[in-house]
Order: sequence, then structure tokens, then C-alpha cells
Amino acid sequence: MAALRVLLLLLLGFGLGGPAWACDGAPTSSLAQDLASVMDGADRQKPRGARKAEIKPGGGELKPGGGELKPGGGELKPGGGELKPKPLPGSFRAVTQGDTPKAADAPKTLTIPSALQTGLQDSWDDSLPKPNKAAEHGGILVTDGDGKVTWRRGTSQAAGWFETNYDDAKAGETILADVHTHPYTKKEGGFTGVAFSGGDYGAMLYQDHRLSLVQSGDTVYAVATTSEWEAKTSGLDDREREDLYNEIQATWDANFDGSDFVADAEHAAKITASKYGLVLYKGAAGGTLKRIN
Amino acid sequence: MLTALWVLLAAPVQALSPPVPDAVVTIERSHEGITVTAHVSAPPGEDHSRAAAGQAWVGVAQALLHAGNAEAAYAAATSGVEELGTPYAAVRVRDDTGMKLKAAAAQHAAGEVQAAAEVAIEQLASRLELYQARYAVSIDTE
Repeated sequence: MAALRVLLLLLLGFGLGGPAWACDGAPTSSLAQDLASVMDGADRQKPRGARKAEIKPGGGELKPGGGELKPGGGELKPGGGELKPKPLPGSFRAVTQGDTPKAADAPKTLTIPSALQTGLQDSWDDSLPKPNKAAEHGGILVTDGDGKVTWRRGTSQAAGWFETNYDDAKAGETILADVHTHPYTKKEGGFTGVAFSGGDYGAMLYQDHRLSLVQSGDTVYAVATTSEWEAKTSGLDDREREDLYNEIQATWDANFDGSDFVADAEHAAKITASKYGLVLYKGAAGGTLKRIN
Repeated sequence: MLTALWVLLAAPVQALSPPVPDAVVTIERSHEGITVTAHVSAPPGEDHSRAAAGQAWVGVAQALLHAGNAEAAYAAATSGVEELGTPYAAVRVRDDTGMKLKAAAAQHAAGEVQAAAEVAIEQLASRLELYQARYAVSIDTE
């Protein structure tokens, strides 16, 4: 009889313990699916109970049973919180969304979201494919209505220019920032840390988003529009816009001395930015950028 | 009624009328004993002679570089940049060709004349590519 009771208890225990045992296996792939569905903008679900999953705050990868979370995407809060897109850094929101700040009120530092940092570095890594071949790369960072941000890489076509892939923004998405690179081969001087050109600023006359970034070597520059820029550029017809483009280019050229290529390019970029109501940031790739004008 | 009939009859006639052929402009440029002729094909009434001149200068500069005269090649490429002028690129292009030309000038000033000539020629040719894309014209050399 006792043996029968022990057998009955074992059977009951197995039945109750079944799901707990399964938590070490099947649910992990289910968890990955939950996370993937959030990444795709699907319904948000609360994660179930105590699952063994590795969480890396700051946008690291999560790979429970083969699932993968890309940086800049959703985040799983320890203890079973809701799955939701990671919020953008406050300084980044200030220069990309909401009311455009005055130059004086623009953030003194700029934190770059991890998805954008990845896009910058990937673009740079492909920008000098051969010792004597340069190719400007870049792309766009977009956000959907739910706050999810996505990096979209464009196609490189030349050593000295990049046509931004604006058309890669899908319906319902908003472009937050564009990126391109400034590579220089040895033949071109082998420069790194080359700031925005006059042409880069001029192209901003024809974009709706407010932030542009460039990576050159280990240095990243960002330039953001302000209410002063908007006052100078709104309501222009095609001819006036083209004239302003040429004026910006001429201002940059007039402030480029040429005796020290990299330093002079930054000087010209700073002076031109200040004149037209743009705020300029600089920093090491992967780090926080500091305002320099 | 007659007007409506005329519209109906005239529309197919207009659709069948042959397209106006592009006009071809020919430009010749010379430097240091090298002469190159370039052509630009464009709709009548449009002036793209500066693009043809730029293309001719590319040919001159390339020939001079090939002949081992990097100094003259750099000068020819610089003439091409000046004659092409602006605008040449579509508005959404992040145009850094001016920076590259400044880099070429820095190389030239440092005595790296061969490198300066190569970079200047590449950037002039790049601007001509952008020009063709912006204005939908065809440029070639003889």
C-alpha cells in the first residue's frame, strides 16, 4: 500500500512538475519568439514567470535558446516587466523630436542610441575596402509609431559622395537621422577625423529630419538644426534654396585655410555651423559626443 | 461637339508624333599638346556645354597622366573642375567632392603631384557622373 502511495505521489509530482521542467527547454524558444514579435512591432506580451534568460541592459544581445535581440530594440525588464522598445536617450530626443530647440538651449552633450552607433561603425568599417579605394557609406535611422528604432543601410556609390537612402523609410516611419562616412585613402592624404563639408550642410536644406552624422576613422561628428536654422530656411523657393546652398558652401570654403587639412575642416565646419544656426557635436566613436560650437 | 471630336482625333496624332531628337554639342579642349573632343547629347534648348567641357578636360588629364606628365594632368583636371562649375549634383547627395579636391590640393602642395592628379581626375569624373544623373544627359569623348 505504501509503495502504491509513493508511486501515486511520484506520478502527481511529475504531472505538476512537467511545466517547470519544460521551462528549461521549450519556453526559452517561446521567450525568444515573444521578444522577436516585439522587435517586429507585434503585440506586446508579459513574459511568464521565472525564465532563465540573460539580460544585458544597454541594448546587448539576448540569446535564449537561439533567439536574438538586436541593439536598440526592445528590452526585457528583470522580474517580469513589460516588453517595450528601449527609450531613446534624452539628448538624442531633444535634437530629433518635439520642438526644435534654440541654439542656446540645445544639449551640451549628445548620446547616440546603440542602433545608430552600430550603423555608424558598420558604415565606417566598409569605407576603405582596399588600401587605395575609398567608398562613402551610410544610411538612415528611422522610428515607427511605437517608438521602435531601426537602422537602414544605404548603398555606396563613390569615394566623394553619398546619396542618402531616404526612400528606405517605410510608410508610417519617420527618419530621425542620416549617416555617412568620410574616408580618405593614402593617395588622398589618409586623413581621419574629417568633419562635415559645406556640401553636407547644404544637403540639410533638402531634408525634413534634424540630425546628420558623419564618421571618419574613430571620430564621429553630429550636426543638428535649431530654431534659428529653421527661421533661415523655411519658406524658401527652389532658387533661394539653391542660392543658400551656394552661400553655405562659400562660407565653408572661405574658412578652410588648407594648411592643416583635418583641423581646418573642423574649423570651417564650426564657423559655418554657428553662422547658419546649426549645433555641432564631436566625440569618439561609440561614446558620448560633446558640443563644440 | 466638333471640339470634342477634334480632341478625340488629335490625341492619337500627338501620341504618334516622333520624339524630338537630342541636340549634340561638341567641345574641344587642349593642354600641353593633348587635345580631346567631347560630346553631350541633350534635349534641344538645354545648354550642357559646361559638362562637355568637363568631360574633355577629363580626357586631356588622363592622357597627360598616362604620358607621365602629372603636373599638367593636375592642371587640366583643375581646369575641368572650374569649367564644369556648379550645380552638378542632385539635392539629396552628400557631396564631399570639394573636400577631396582640397585633399588633392594639399597633396599637390606637399609635392605628391601624381597622387594629386589622380585624385583630381577621379573627383572631376565623379562630378560628371553626378551631372549626368541630375540632368539626364549623355556625355562621351571621341
